[in-house]
Amino acid sequence: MPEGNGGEMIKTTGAKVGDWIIAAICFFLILICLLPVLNILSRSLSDPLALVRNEVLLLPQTYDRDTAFNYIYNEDGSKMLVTAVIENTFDNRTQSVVSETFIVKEVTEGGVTETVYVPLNEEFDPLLFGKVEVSLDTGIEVDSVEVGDTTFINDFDEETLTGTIIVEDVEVRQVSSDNASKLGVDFTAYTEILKDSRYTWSLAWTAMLTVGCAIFSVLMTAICAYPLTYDNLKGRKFFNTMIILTMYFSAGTIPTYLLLKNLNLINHPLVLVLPFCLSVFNMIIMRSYFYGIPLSLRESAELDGAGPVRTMISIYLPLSMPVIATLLLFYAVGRWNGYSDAMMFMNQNRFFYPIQYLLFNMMNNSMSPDVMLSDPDTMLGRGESMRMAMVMFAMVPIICVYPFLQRYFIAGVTLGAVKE
Amino acid sequence: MKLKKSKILCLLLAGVMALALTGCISEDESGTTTTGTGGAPETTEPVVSSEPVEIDDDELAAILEEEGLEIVDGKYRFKDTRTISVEIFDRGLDAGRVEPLDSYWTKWIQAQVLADHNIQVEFQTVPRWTEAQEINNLLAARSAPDIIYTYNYTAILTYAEDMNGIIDLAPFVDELGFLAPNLWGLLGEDLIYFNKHPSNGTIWAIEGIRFTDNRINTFVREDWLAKLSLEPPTTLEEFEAMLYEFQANAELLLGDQADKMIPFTIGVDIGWRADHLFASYFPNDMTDKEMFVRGFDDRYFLYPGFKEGVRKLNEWYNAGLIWQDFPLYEMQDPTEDNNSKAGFVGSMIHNWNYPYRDNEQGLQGMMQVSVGPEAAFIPVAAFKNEADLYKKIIPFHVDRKIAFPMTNDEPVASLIYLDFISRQDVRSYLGSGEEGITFELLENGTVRTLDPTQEAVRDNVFEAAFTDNTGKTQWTYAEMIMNSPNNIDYLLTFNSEGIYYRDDETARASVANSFPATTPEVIHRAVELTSLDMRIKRDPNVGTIEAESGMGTTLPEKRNAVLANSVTTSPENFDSVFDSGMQDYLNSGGQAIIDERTAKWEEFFGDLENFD
Repeated sequence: MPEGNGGEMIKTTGAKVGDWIIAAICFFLILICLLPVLNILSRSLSDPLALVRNEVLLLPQTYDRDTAFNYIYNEDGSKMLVTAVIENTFDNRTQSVVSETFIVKEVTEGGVTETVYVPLNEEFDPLLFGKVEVSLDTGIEVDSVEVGDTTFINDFDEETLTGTIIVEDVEVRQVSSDNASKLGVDFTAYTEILKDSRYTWSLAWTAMLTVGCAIFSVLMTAICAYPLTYDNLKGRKFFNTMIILTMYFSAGTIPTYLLLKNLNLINHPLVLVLPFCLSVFNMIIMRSYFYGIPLSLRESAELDGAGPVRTMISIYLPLSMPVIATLLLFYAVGRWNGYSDAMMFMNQNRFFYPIQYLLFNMMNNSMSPDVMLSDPDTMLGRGESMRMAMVMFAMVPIICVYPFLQRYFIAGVTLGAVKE
Repeated sequence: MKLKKSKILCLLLAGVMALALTGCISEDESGTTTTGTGGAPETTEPVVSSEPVEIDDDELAAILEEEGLEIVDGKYRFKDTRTISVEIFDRGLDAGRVEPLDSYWTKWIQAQVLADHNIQVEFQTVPRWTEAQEINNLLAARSAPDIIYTYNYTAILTYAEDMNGIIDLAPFVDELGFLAPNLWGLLGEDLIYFNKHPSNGTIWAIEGIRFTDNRINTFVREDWLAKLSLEPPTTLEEFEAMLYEFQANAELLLGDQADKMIPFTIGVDIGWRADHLFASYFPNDMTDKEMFVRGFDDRYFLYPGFKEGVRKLNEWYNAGLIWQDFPLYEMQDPTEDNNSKAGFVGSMIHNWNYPYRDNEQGLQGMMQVSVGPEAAFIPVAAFKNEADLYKKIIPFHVDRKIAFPMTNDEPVASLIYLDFISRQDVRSYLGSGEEGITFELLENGTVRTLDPTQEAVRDNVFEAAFTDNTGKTQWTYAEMIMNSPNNIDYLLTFNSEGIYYRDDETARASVANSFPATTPEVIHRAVELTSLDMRIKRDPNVGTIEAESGMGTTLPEKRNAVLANSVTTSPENFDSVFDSGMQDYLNSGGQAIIDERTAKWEEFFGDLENFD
C-alpha cells in the first residue's frame, strides 16, 4: 500500500468501474502493440505460397498446392475441379485417356445442341481431338456428368471426326473456400535456421556477450559514479563537466575508427565490449541514486575505519540493487539489439558477429536494378518465411527474459528523480 | 554570477569548436552506377599515346632490371617474392558455402600467382552490403588492400580528390602496360582509358568489362495472350490494346480475384521500369553531343521526348492499366514481385532476365506453382520509335572500377596480378570451375552450372591434383563452392554475367542453360530483344564536372519523385506537374550540369556533333 506524507495509509475501496475500463484499454493497447510480433510469428510459420499471395495476417497458413490449378467456376462462384477417366473409341480403336480437367461446352451442329466435354489438357493427340479451344465459362453445371455418360466429340478443324467418349469415373472435388488454404504450420524455416551452426553459435555468442558486457558495464558505471558523489573530490566540477560533455559530442565514425585501429581493437571481440561500455546517461542515473543513500551511513562506515572502496562494496552496492538491476537490463538490451558497432569495427571477423549484425547481413540486399544486372546474386530467393523466422530468432530471447525484469525497468526510469 | 556565465560561454565555445573539428564524413551513395565520364574519342591532340608504349630490347631490359623482374616461360616473374593484398567481397552466404578466405579458389589463385609471378597474394574481405562505408573507413585508416574495386565512379572521385586515397594509374597502364598484355587484350584502350582525364591524363580507376550489353526487356504473359487469342504485340497500339484486353477480361483470366488484375506493373524507379517505352519517344538521330550534354541522368530524364513517354504512362495510370499502388512501395519491397508470383500481372518492363532468375523462387518459378505450369512471361519488342526501330540506349559496357590505394607499395605487382586475373585460361577456370562439381558439359558443347551442395555432386569428393608450396593438397566439395556467382568477386576485370567456359562463344551459347525456369528458346529471344536496334551511349571523358559533385543522390531522388507525381496525377494537371517538377530539377543543379557539360564539350571537341 502506498504511503502518503506522515505515514498514513491511503484507504482503498473496491475496484470501481473506471478502473476496469482503464484496465481494458491497457489490455487492448498491449494487444495492439503485440500484433506486429504475432504477424511476424505467423509469417515465419507459413507456406511461401501463402506469403506470395499476401494472405497471412495473424494465423499461419499453408496451401494445398494440388488445388492451385485450373478451376471450373460454377454460377455461385465456387470452384470445382473435375477429373474423368475417359475411354475413347475412335474408328474401332480403343484408347484410354486420362484428362486432368475438362470443360463443358454447348455445341450446336445442324440444329442439334450437344453437350460436349473437352479435355483441357493439350497433350491429347490433335488428330483425335483437333485443336482444343481453351476457355473457361462461368455458370456451367458439371453435376450432370455421371459415370456411363457418353457423348460426342466434335472436331474443331475442318476434318470430321466421329467417336464416343465414355465417362468411366468422375471425381468431383468441391473446393470449399476461395483460397483453398489450410490453416497450418510449416516449420521448414526454423529447421533450416537451426541446422545452420552459424545462427546457433551467433545466438550463443551474443548471449554470452550480453551477459558479460552488462556486468562489465555496470561495474564501470558504478566505479565512475561513486567517486563523483564525494564532495571533497578534487576537480569534481571539472570531471562532471567533461563527462557530461561527452554525452553531447562525439568525434564521429572515422576518428573513432582510427583510434580503435591504433589500439589494435579492430576485428577483435573486445571491440564490442570496451569502447561503448559506459553510458553517461546511465552513470547519471546511478549517481543520483547514490546521492539518495543517506550520508550518515557513509560516515558510520568511515568511523569504523572503512576506506572509500570498502564503503562502496559493503554499503553502497548492496543498497543499490534496484538501480543495478535496472542498469543491467538497460545495458543488456542495448547490447543485444546493437549492430552498428559490429558493422563499423568488426566487419572481417565473422566468427564473433552478434546475432543482429548477422541478420542484418542476411536481410539487407538492397540493390538498384543497374547493379542487379552485373551482380546476379540477388538473394531475394531466400523467401519471406525465412527472413521472418530470423527476426523471431533474434527477438525471442529478449522477450522471454523481459517479463521477469520489467518491474525494474519501470522503477528504474524514475529512480534518480527524487532526492531525499 | 558573471563568473558562472563566462564558464557557460567557455563550455559552449569549446563545444562548437569540437563540433567543427569532427569534420564532415560524406556518405557515399551505393548502388547507382553513374557511368561517370569516360571514353577515348578520336581527339586531335592526344596527351598520352593511346597504346602501350613500344619499347625496344634495351629499354625493356632496363625496366625489368629496375622493377626486379625476369622473364620465365613467357611470363614476368619477380626475382624476390612480393606481397600484395586484394579486396574481396564477403557476401554472408548461407550454409554450405565457405568463407572467401578459406575457399578453394582463393588457395588456387594464391598458388598459381606465386608459381607464375612470385607474388604472394593476400585477400582482405569487405562485406558486400556495406562496402562503400567500409572502403571509406579503410582508406581513411590507411589499411585498405592494395587493389580495391567499387561499382560507383563518384566514390572513386571522392577517394581521389577529397581523400587523396588512391594513386594515378596512368604511369602503370601506359609505360608499363607491356607487362600486362592480357589486361590490355581483354579491356582494350576503350576501357583502360575510359576514365582518363583529357588534359593531364590521370587515370584514377580502370574499368572492368561487362561481357554483354543486356539490359532491359519487355515481358508479357504468354498464357493470357493464348487465352484471349492475342498475338504478342509489336507496336505501341497493339501493346495498349492488349492492356485494355487484360483489364476487360479480368474475370476470365483471374476468376474471383479479378479485382487484383494488374495489366502493367511498375516500380518507383520509373525511368528504369518504363525504359523501352520512353526510348521510343526519343528522336532517332540524336547527336552524340546532345546525348552527352543531357546525359547526366542515367534514366535519360532530360532527353527530348521523355515527357511524351510519361504522358502515355499517365494516361495508362488513369485508365487503371498500371498498378495503382506502385508509389507506396520502395524499391526492394517484395510486394510487387509477389503480385507477379501470384499471377496477377500481365506485363512489365524489367531487367532482361528478371522473371527467370532464382529458378523456383523467382517470378516465373513461383508463378508456375501458384497459377499453373502454362503460366509464363515472354519477352517482346513492342515500342517502335519514329523511324520504326525498337531503339534503346545502352550505356557502354563498363563494370567495376578498379583502383590502387595510396598505401599500395607494389603497384607493379598489382598490375601483374590484374594481368593474371585477365588471362583467358584463368577466367575460364574461375568462371566455370571443375567439371562435374561446379559445372557440367552438355552434348551440344555448352555448359551448365551445378550446385555443389546437391546430393549428386556432394558424393564425389574431389581431389585437387596440383601441388602448392607444401606439396599435394586434397580438397573437398565444400571448399569448392563458389562464394560468388561464377567467381565474379575474383575476376575483377571481367564480368561474365554467367558461366564462362573456354571462350566467348561457348559462354554466349551457355546462357540459356542457367535458367531452368524457362526454355532456352525464350532466353535466346530475351538476349536478342534486349539489344535489338540498340545505340551505345558513349560519354567522353572531359575531366571532373564540378556541377555534378554531390548530386549523386539528390537529383535522382528528385527525378523519381517528379516521375511518380506526374504519372499518378490527373491528365489535366499532367503538364503543370511535370513542367514544375522538371523546372525544380533544373534549378536544383540540373541546368548547371547541362551548361557545364556543354562548355566542356565545346572546349574539347569544338563544333563536333557526332563521333564516327
